[in-house]
Amino acid sequence: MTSSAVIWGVIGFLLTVMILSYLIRDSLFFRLATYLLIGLTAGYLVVLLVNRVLLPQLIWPMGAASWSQRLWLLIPILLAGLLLVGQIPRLALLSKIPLAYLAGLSAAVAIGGAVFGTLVPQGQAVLDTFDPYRIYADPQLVWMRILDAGVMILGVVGTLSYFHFGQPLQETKRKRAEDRPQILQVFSKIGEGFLGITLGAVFAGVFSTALLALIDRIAVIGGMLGQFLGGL
Amino acid sequence: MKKILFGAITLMVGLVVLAGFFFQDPFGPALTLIYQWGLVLVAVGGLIGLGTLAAFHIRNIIQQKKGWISSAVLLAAFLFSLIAGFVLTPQNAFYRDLILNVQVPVETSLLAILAATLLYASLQLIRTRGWTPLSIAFMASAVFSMLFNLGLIQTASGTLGEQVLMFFRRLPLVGARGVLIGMALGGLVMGLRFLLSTDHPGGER
Amino acid sequence: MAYLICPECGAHNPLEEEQCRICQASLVGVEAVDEPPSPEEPLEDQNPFEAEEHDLSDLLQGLKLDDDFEIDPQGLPEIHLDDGAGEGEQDRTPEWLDAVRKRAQEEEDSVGDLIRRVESAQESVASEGKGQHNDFESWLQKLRDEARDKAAGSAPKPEPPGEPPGEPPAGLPGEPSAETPETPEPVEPVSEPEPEPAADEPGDSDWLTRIRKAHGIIDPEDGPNAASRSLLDWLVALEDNPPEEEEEGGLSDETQQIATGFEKLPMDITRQIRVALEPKLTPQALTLSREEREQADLLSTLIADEKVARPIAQRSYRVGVQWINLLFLLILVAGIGLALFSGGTASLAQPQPSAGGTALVNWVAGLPADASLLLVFDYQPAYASEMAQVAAPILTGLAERGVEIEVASSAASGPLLADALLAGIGDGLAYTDRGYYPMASYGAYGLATGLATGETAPGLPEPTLGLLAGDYDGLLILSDSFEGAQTWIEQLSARSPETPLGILATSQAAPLLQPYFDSGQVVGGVSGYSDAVALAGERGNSAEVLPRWRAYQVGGLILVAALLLGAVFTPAPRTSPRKRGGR
Repeated sequence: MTSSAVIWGVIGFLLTVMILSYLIRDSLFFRLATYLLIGLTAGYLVVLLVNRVLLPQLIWPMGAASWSQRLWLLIPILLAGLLLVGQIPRLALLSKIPLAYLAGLSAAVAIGGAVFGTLVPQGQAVLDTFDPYRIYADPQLVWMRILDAGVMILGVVGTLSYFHFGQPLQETKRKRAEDRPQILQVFSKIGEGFLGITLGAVFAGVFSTALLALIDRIAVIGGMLGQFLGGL
Repeated sequence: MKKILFGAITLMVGLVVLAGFFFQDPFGPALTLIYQWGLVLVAVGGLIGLGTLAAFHIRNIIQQKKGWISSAVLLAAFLFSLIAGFVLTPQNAFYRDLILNVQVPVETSLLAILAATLLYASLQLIRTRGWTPLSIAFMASAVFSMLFNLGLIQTASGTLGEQVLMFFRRLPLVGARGVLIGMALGGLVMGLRFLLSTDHPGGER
Repeated sequence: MAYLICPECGAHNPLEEEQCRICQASLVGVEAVDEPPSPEEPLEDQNPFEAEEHDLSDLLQGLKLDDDFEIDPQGLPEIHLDDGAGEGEQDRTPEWLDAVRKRAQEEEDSVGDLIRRVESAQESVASEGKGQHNDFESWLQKLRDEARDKAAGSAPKPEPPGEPPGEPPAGLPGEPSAETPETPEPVEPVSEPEPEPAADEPGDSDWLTRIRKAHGIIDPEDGPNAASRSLLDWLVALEDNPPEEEEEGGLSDETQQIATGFEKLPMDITRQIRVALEPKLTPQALTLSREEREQADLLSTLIADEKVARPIAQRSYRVGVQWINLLFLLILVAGIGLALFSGGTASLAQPQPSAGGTALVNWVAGLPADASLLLVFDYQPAYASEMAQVAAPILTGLAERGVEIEVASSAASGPLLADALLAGIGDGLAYTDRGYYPMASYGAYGLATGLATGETAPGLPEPTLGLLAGDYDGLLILSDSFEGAQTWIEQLSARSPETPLGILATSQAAPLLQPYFDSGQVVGGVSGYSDAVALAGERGNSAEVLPRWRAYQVGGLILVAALLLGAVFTPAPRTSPRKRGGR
């Protein structure tokens, strides 16, 4: 093992112990380690944004561009300038121009993605479960495919119904919710069950990921202790 | 007048981008331009945010507020990382080791703490939520998903048992599909509200 | 009286409530608690507002403590709710309260306006009330004489010895009356004479105090402030627009007693009192809108929080849950440690690969040798360990086929992680860096746009690093979260659906990504650790992953045990009040 690997290993070991000390109690070591992480990451992010975004997108093309091309590049520079100047409280209004630009871009990207990337394909997938070619593709499993299709439509409609009623109801609104069509209330209850199943699977997944992180840290600590004890 | 101007900018940019989803070729160059400008603005916004973070901690140190020692550690790390990054460049091996060998242990350890927290939550799931359809379905699904993940529930290939097992494994997918469609509907509505300036990210109306 | 104490905000709720009236938190399972005054510190002392007059609006309660308010030279009320607090304690006013006071002084909004109104009312009550007492001195003397004359024929009726001083006499009904003080009906004159006041009692000159004492309403132990408090009780009783709580829930007991006592007075005396009082009281009445009243309530609550200890809920359990938690954590850590370092080749079971994982392996195997593939790094360093194992089978396959690799990142640490991960595959996987995209949605949109149009705007400068315009044979998204992967899937499905897309995701992202596998938007994906272990097993690399897989199984089983045992042995929660906020 090289000396640099040993040094980084010891640093990683110490930082791990400092963070895991939180399991006993919130201590100064835990806070120091987290602040160290935030500081280093923030500095790195500045370097990254400048080196990987602003320089290649804005500065370097400016040097190589013709005069007409430079006029085009002035627009993002102007917008960025407005964003910076807008940090002065008296001139905050100016920053709303680039923010309006970003809002329009983000909203449109989100709408396009949601509609064409999720709503249409997933809706189509629900309908596809009722495709006769799919249902009768394997004669041995027709009943299973029909059951699958029924559960799919019931679960999706139920989950959407549950979203509708899932908000915490104020006392005054409760009566209004009860006045809604009973069929929707029934679907909402069914959806609650399906949502619970999905969230349970997500919970197991999140725990798995966190568990693997714990395993990794125990492996690092154990490995480091083993090296120290073996070297004594 | 000002609101109309901001609303018009939002709507104009949004409509061009949305039109690009339908007419890709004619709008391609304009979309490229809009996207590049957006990327620059996001980067500048990020720099402003990081500058605000640094300024906040500098104030903490100058005024010697509670926790100013932690702020000093943060600021020292920030300056060191910043200067080293510009001097050595992010491609430098030492700089990469420096960042990764702090980020990986600290972030992984924070995630490991989550494992302990989730274990505590598992112990208290029914106590806090009670025996409701949601909690029962949640617990049963979590138990079976974990057993599936551990490889403890398996059947022979091509048997009826495999089909039944597949059916149960697909049950979380049903709710997930409902969640995805619900999220997409919510995203659509929120996006339209932003575009039509009935709502703003800053909460202003 | 029993309450349900909200476990979230500590608010008191009636027994029948299922949700907190303040924060809407669930009260299911919360045990009712009685609110007995502690032996050494009666509850009335801790929070005089809650103790006996909780039905009144907080503003009016605040007004009642007029002697506790002083007009500060800066024009702000200095509020002393705790008579026992020393000067030093008063100086340690929290910053938030200073901010509220400052705002009230400087700003013209409704809260500031309200405080100024309160302040002026304080001054008005202090000055006019005192003036009234002096002006009415002779009139009160006249009333006393009249009362003596009427009672001259009957002997004084002593108070029953066993009756506590605070209890109303038998003639006063305990239940709230439906009649309001504004419409008193003529009643029989009070037959019992007013007892002679003790000469040393400071409130003797106050006719209201005397009336209340005559009916057992006021505690003779009350201090010198009792007179002014009772005056304000009259204000409450005579309020033209009583608060909503009073309309719905009835008047408080004390107000009822005052009202009933008022009705029991001889009609002519009542009329005289009304005639004498009403013109004087008119300028002091506060007309508050609903919004102002709510703000006043909030402000009053905040002020009350400053020094008054209030009981709030603290969950505790019959069995030491903390110890059980610690026990499970120790078992988890010890089990993982044993599984990792014990050696051996045994494990509980070997997982089977998912359909998505198998499909992705097959897709990689079918790529042409000169294929070009873009890897998108969208995960944080915390997940580096899991992602390395999830990606290893696929990246090894790519290295074996000699596929050309390009890398883009939508996570800040992506470039560093890409370097570390790809360097560990075989002898190191060569790649071309295509840049960092600070927002995943913009990066995905830019890539999809570049793929769709294949060109940048004519006449515009070419970015050195930026647009992901390329003719890729496929994309692999390495993501730690559902949202990150979803962004890429959505944009690429929307704008470039013909480009094959594979996903390498952590266990936590996998369940919500399943619909995208199922709908065919994604050609395949390794979803989580068990899938990675299964694929590693198919490649014959089981031995490398075995220690961690065994540790994972142990940890997973402990979670299952915790879920089941937690459900079976659910300890019943109990709540016990703890004090917070006192100094």
